[in-house]
Amino acid sequence: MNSLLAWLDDRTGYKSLVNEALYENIPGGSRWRYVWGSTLVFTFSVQVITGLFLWMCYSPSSRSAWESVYYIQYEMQGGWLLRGIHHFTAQAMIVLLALHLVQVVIDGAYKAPREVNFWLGLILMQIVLGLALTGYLLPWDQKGFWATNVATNLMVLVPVVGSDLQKIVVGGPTYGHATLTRFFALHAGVLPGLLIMMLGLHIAVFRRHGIKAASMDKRPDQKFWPDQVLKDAVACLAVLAVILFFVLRGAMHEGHAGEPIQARLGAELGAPADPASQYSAARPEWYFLFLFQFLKYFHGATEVFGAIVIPGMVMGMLFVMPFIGRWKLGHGFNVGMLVVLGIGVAALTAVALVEDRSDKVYKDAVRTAEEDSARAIELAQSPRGIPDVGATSLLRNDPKTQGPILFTRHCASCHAHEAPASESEGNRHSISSRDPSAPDLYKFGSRDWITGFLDPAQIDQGTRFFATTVHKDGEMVSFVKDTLTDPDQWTKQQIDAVITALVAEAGIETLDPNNEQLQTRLEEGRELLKDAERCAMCHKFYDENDDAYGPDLTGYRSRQWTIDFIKDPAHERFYGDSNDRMPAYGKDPDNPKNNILTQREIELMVDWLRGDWYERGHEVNE
Amino acid sequence: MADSTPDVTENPEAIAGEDRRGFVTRLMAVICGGIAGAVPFFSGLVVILDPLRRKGGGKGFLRVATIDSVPDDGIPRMFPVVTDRTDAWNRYLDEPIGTVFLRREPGSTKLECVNAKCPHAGCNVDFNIPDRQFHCPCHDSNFEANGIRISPESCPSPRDLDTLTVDPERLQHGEVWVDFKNFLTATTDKIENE
Ligand code: FES
Repeated sequence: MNSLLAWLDDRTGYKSLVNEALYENIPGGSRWRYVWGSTLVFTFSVQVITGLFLWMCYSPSSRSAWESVYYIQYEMQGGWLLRGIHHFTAQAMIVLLALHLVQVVIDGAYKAPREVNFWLGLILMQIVLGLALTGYLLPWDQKGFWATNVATNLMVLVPVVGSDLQKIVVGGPTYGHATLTRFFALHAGVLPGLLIMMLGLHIAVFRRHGIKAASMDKRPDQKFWPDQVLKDAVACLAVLAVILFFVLRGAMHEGHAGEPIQARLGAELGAPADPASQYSAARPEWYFLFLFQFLKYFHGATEVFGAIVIPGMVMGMLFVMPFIGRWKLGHGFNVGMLVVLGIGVAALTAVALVEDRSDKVYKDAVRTAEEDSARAIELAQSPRGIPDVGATSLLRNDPKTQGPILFTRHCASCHAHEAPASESEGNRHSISSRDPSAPDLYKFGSRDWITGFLDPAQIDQGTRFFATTVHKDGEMVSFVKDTLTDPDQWTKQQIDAVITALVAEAGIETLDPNNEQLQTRLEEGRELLKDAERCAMCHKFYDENDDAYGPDLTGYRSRQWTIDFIKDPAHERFYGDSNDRMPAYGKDPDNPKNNILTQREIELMVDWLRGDWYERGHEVNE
Repeated sequence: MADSTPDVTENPEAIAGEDRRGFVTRLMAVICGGIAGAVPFFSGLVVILDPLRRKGGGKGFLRVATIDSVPDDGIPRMFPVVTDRTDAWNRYLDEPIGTVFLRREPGSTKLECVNAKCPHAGCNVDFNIPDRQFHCPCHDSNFEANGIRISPESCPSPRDLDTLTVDPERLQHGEVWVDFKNFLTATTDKIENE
């Protein structure tokens, strides 16, 4: 064995390498305060290892980035752990870097002959920040997308070449495939490569000058191995423990019902990036928050100072520290500057956090973002899965998500959709109208709604039914108030039968087919609806009815009926000439471009109104 | 080392010759090595600069809505701008490429249109109905309903919201066609991003 090692040493010289690495002299002996550099090397190694594994699972394109990250996080075994470690180690690295910098400055370890190494360290810091920035975009979720957008948009401020630079970084005028391929190459190739080079130099130069002895007390020197190595290893383990704590922290919280546990473990994953969405919760990662807050104080043309000049000057100040340190009071000045800088960063971060905490709009936006992300995951995990056009289509084609948006945009100036707080599907689903002049459409077509509609005490009250439309004083109201109240003409049971038949037409609530009494009611109701002396005096119900001038009750409030109604409420099948103000949203089937809403938009809204969307655990048969 | 340059040290002419030869050798070494490294590097650089020659730019007038969907109550309403979109090697039909706000003053048939993108750093602004203001969620720029900055001295946005042209002719037929464009953010002037 020994002769083999001797042979190897002869050919490679490995022994002197090992000696150099392990038996480095530490003046004054091993110390805990020397461990920071090693923990940084450790965190970087963790990033390389976890990063390479993530690379094996990640696909950088705007139609596959979110999808592959989702797959890592929610489907691959242990994916959440791998991703969580990578995510939180990145943050640990930033914290350790800051500590390392503070220590080097306080100890005066930037002074001659260590200037070059100090600069190398600052360059390393830039590279790590670059890694953080590029990594934030890669999952292609709303948060990373919008925050990174702000960063690249501000590149325009770079004098002369700004807009070209932005284009090269983004890979075109807007975000897309090319942005991801570029950011990924930077994140996984260029920047780590540079980092390894610089780190090699940093460590080599460090070895050349040796450790900056901490204090003057005369303790015996020690070798690096094993005392300092033990201390370093313990410190690395401690760092890892902190990282794992953050990865696993979510397990302590109670999750939402049905939500997969991976939603709370490791790094979060927002909803897929959608450039056309209104995303109001854009914030950079916490360590960039101070810059974000700083930007708020620069207005109009002074922006360039906040975004480039002042941060550049601060960096410049750090770079000249070794020269300043040569003067008598220089070191004190440097330390003071660092303290001021630290306080500034901490204060800005605190202000940003406090402002956000008291900002109702922002808090709502965060809640919406969380709902969207949970919804995207729910849909991705549905039996349909993620379609080949990508995950952005999940929310774009989801009635639960799009319904409230479309309703607010197109209907809420007249209609409300006021869900009772207890039942509301998240606050977005309760929409009030600025000026309710038409029916509240919450659960319209349900038994409760139809019962209220045929109730003389309710039909013309408030805004739930005819509100302030002309129908408020119309024939239906007088029919409900005068005729339905006359027990000689309509018994309670007959009214209930009609309600049952209409509920069956709407199809929002299912009627128990095994309940015989209910089925008899249903038949009775259908007869009443067809009765030429009763409902059919004004309404058509299946049978031909030339006298009908009120809305057709065939399939009343069913999906198709509602879609057709929204398309053209003034159609003779519905209100005809007596339609009051409601626009036709899709009158022209031959020229979709002439319509206010597309077929798809109407369907999404109607499905939402009918509560017809995919829910985890309530698989609908399609 | 010493024995690799034997006895020429004695002869000044030989030294001069050696120097000249040495210079040429060094020059050639730098040139050959340089070319060997530059060819692969520049072949990559050319490709990576490709986005510079691509034009995004406007797509001309696009249909955004009908006038009926913009009530004349002075409140801006948000509409997606939908058209075909190319993302590098993919072409997507009818995808939203941006968002605009349309607004009509009471009793007016004139339509105002602004791009929803905040001129500061490109977040999408939102209209806050109770305050009758546009608000940008990113760095708190605020704009009036007509897109003018509320307090230009303290607003992070360097300019008012970017207005877009609505085709007047089609508007007479009740259709809203907008000349949709994006502009560079963070600049005082409105410069088209192409
Ligand atoms: S992006 Fe709108 S204020 Fe900064």
